[in-house]
Amino acid sequence: MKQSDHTLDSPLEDWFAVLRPIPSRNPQAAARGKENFMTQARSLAIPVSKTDDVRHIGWIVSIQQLIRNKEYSPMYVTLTTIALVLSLLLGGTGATVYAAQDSLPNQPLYGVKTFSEDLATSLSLRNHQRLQLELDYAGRRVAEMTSLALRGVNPPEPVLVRLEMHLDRVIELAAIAGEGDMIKPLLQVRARLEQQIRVLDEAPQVGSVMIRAMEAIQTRLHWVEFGLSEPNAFREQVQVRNQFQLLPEIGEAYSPGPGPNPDQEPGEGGFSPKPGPNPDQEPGEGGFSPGPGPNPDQEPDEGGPGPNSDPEPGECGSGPCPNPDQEPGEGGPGPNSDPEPGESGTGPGPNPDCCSDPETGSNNGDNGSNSPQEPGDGSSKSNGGKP
Amino acid sequence: MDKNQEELLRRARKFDQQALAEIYDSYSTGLYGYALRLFGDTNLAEECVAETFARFLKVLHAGKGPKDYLKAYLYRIAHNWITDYYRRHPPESLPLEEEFNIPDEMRLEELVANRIQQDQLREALFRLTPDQRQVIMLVFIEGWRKAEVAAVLGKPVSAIKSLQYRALNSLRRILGITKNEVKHEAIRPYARFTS
Repeated sequence: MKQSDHTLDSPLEDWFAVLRPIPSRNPQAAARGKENFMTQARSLAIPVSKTDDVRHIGWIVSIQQLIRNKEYSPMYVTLTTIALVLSLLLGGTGATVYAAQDSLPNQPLYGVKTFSEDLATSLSLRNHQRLQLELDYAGRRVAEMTSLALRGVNPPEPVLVRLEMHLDRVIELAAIAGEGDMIKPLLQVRARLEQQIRVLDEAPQVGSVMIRAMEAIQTRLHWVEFGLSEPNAFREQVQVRNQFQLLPEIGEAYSPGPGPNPDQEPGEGGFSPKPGPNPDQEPGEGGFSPGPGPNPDQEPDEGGPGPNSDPEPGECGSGPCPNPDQEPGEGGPGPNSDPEPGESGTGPGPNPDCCSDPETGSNNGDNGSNSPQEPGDGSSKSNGGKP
Repeated sequence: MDKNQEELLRRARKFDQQALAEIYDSYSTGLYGYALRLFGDTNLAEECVAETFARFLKVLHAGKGPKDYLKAYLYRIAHNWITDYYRRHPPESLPLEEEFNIPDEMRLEELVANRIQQDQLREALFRLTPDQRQVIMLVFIEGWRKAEVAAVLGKPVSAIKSLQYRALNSLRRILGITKNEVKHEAIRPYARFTS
């Protein structure tokens, strides 16, 4: 005992002195106490698994141990910062994209939704995957239109544009599948399109976009049915269409033609939905005259599903061949009542056989047609001549 | 804290039986004396020692426990247990214990007077605050340095000095001692028996 710590007056010191001496401890009691202590110690020996406290907050302890370094490491801090920023950015973007998936065209996140769709489509490597995506996105557009219609809102025009874009891509992707692989996706596409038509049919008709959307789907459905019946012709038509970047009209091109155009010059092809890529086409050239079709003011040299009553040999008409009596090798749309041998027609009209025979020179350049051309184009676009 | 004690604690956290036995042997006797001085009862003192080491094992098992000063930690546990005990069981007059080894040369009247004085001092100690009582016990009875007491209480040494000052004044007041008073027979209870 240090004296400096315990300066005490004598009376208190006497009192404390009474308490200091203690009798020695009973050795038996001390032994019992130690034995009990050691027994407890053995029973509480650390188990194999961690204790409750450590186990329940073990992840925090692990993180703390990870972070707690004895030495300061600038590289570690930099990497941690980068990882944190990236996780925040990517996590936030991912959350935004996820939240945008249920948005409607009149909502702010709709742009994110369409952007993510385009990105996903462009990132998909296989045509089959892209076709599935485009089909799904077409279904989304139909669902968006339906949702808006149920709320009494007229779906905006861009939704229709995107729907047509998806559908055209579907047709294109189905057409570039192998010969044996085309039927299955086309059947799938047909089922989906029929389903979308039913959905639109049951939805309240608000505004003209809904009606036009249904027409667009029906048009593509005709294309698909043509592809199922005439796969080769379908593929060639689509390829030629792609070549001239006329895909948006591709479905309409195969809709049944409007019938005879009394003003159409002989030798003009059957497909002329609207001014085509070759306005200078001469009479006698097959297929893709760009004329407006049944437009009564149509000039000679313009295409269209006119009543090519006397096509020249080698001319090609790619119309739907409404004339059931048309002979093989005859081209042009239906009204061609007297085709010459060697003429060809490529349209998926009521007489599909007119395009299936290779000897008919169906729609390719062999017969002078350098682009797909159908009788329905001119009528449906410029003259409202849809069947 | 020296290296040996640090190593001892590290092994104790792993429930090394030898280390735990070493800790018990090192501190159980001192804790027993500390408890016995405050209780005046050997059974209670043994119980206090047992409870202190049981609590020590529990905190080790929970992954906690003392980081540096094991002795202070154990005395703090013992002190808290004694304080809790006296809260539940107010001090009574304690009987003479058979286990007390009475020196042969001590006369009976001295023995009785000594015991009475011990009881009076214990009663006075338990009228202090727990911290004041522990300061008095550790500094003046157990002979600890103030720095060690500060470690037990988790307070600075200046706070220990302040506690000691107030505790001594309270004890003088309770025991009827003036500060500069010389030994006075009247305030020594056993004097009545020895005179």
